[in-house]
Amino acid sequence: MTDMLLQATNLRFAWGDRPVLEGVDLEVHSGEVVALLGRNGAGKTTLLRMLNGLLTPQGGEVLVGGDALGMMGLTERAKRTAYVPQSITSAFPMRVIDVVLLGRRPHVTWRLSDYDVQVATDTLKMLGLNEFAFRRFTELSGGERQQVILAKAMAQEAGVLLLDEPTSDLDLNNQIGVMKRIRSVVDTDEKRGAVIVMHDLNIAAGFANRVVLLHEGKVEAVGSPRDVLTKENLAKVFMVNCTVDEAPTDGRLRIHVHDEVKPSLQNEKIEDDAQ
Amino acid sequence: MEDVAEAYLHGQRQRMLFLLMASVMTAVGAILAMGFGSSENLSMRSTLGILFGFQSAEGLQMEILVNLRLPRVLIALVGGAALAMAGTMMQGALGNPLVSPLTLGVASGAGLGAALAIVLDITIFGLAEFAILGNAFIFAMLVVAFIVKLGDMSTVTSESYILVGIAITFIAGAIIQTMTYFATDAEISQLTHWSFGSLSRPNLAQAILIGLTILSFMPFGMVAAWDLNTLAVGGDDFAASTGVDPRKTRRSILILSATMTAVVIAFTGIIGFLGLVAPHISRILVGNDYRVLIPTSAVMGAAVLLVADTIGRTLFAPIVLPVGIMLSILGGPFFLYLLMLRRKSL
Repeated sequence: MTDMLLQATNLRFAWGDRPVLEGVDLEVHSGEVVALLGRNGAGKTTLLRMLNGLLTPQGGEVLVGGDALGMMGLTERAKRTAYVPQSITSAFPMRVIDVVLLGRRPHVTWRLSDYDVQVATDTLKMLGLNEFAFRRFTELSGGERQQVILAKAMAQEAGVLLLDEPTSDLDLNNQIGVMKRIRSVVDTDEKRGAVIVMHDLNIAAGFANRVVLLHEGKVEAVGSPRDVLTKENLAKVFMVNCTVDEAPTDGRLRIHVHDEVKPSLQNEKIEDDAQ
Repeated sequence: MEDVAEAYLHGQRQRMLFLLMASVMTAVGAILAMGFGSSENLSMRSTLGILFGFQSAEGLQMEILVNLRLPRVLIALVGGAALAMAGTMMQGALGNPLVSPLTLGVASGAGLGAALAIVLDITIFGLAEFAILGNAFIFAMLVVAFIVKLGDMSTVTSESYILVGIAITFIAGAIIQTMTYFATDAEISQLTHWSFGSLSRPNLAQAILIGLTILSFMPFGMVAAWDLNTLAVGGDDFAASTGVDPRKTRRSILILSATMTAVVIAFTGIIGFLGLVAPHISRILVGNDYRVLIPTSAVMGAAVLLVADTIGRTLFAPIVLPVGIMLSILGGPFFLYLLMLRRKSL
């Protein structure tokens, strides 16, 4: 039986009169990678920010390790959840090692211990970023920066990693590499789990234990990739025609997107494809 | 891995060593600077001897050393340290390397206060002796109070602070210009002279008071070093997800920086360039980790202001050039040189 790391219940949020999320539930168990999928504007980033406490839900509640996130101080939150935003622009050329060491901020008052430095350097090594340690963060490419911020979040040693499109700026090799490392962190540390906002359905299918499909601010489907990433669901949420099958080599789920569904033909198409 | 950890720790030790050496050199420079002057030059040994009573002073030596040069050097050290530290902290808190202690309009407030005292004889203290100083301080602190109120607003961002600072600068500038338009030649001269920025104004008691005030503020800045690191690197969300309250940190750092600036420039007049140049020199020398950057900036600020003032009062002796002018003349080209030398650091 796995531990419940994070539980969000009936979350609701609106920007002014425009509802963004309505009655959203989400759970993360230890050892679990949860992929958060949906179209642009579906509320994925808003949900992720609420799971970290960066946004306060207007309804519902988030529990982390059984405790209400809203009742925790910022330091305690940062010890339990680590957030990786889509991108970061920095005006100051801090070195990569210094950025990663910021992940230790919730654990230190002033002086870094040898353990803190060790955690940061271990994380750099695990992500294959050793050679970047003393380069300036501002001189790195978007993809490299993304990996450094991921390293900082991992160095935070929080139970729940909340990652907003951590592979969006990465090349194919690095996309797979980063997802493998996230998977490895979650698999090797039994007290960790991750929620990852992503757009690549095949990567979600390959690395996530569970998929949460958001559509117009509500959970359209939740379950294993095989249960959720069906062509009916994908046609409804993403408005695309696709084929879902298994790779002959390893049996993995494969999603081939063929075409967009024309809005006027949407219902008809879905019915045809479903037959 | 071991190599990266070891290299990091080695780098940190080197930075601390540099900081220590720079502090010692600045202290030695301060004693040497007390020996230089328009009236008579003294050796380091004589300066120390006279100050500590091991050597008898001749003629006006004691008067010159204790009442003229000592407060001047003291104010160069603490004033330079305060303005540089304030600039460094504000740059981090607002995530903007172009910010200086004057960005929030504190100096403009002080200038307005001084102009009211000089041109219209309006004083809040009512003490003629301290009219300009008192007004400059009170009006600078009024700007600080405004920043405090601004920080209470839930929608305030880094840009809000900068834009409000620009607005205050323009408003104060417009009022000062209007007063200047109606002022007498003598008043204009006095106002212009105040705005140059000079270290000759504070007496020994005032210099000690400023020094103690600034020293008591400094630990608050040091304590916030980690929080400033997170704000400087990634902004509000990054800081909050790292356990730092961005609004609270920004508000308290800006209040601290603005108050330190107000305390100094009320006594010295406007010393503008230092709060921008000393932080950047320090960034080039020790990097951007605020745990090392804050104390290094303080030392570099003290050293730069000391050197500029010492050259200003000895280069064309007995004519003494205001330190504000010397800073721009010497600091500007030197700063450009450093930037070109290490342009990657920008």
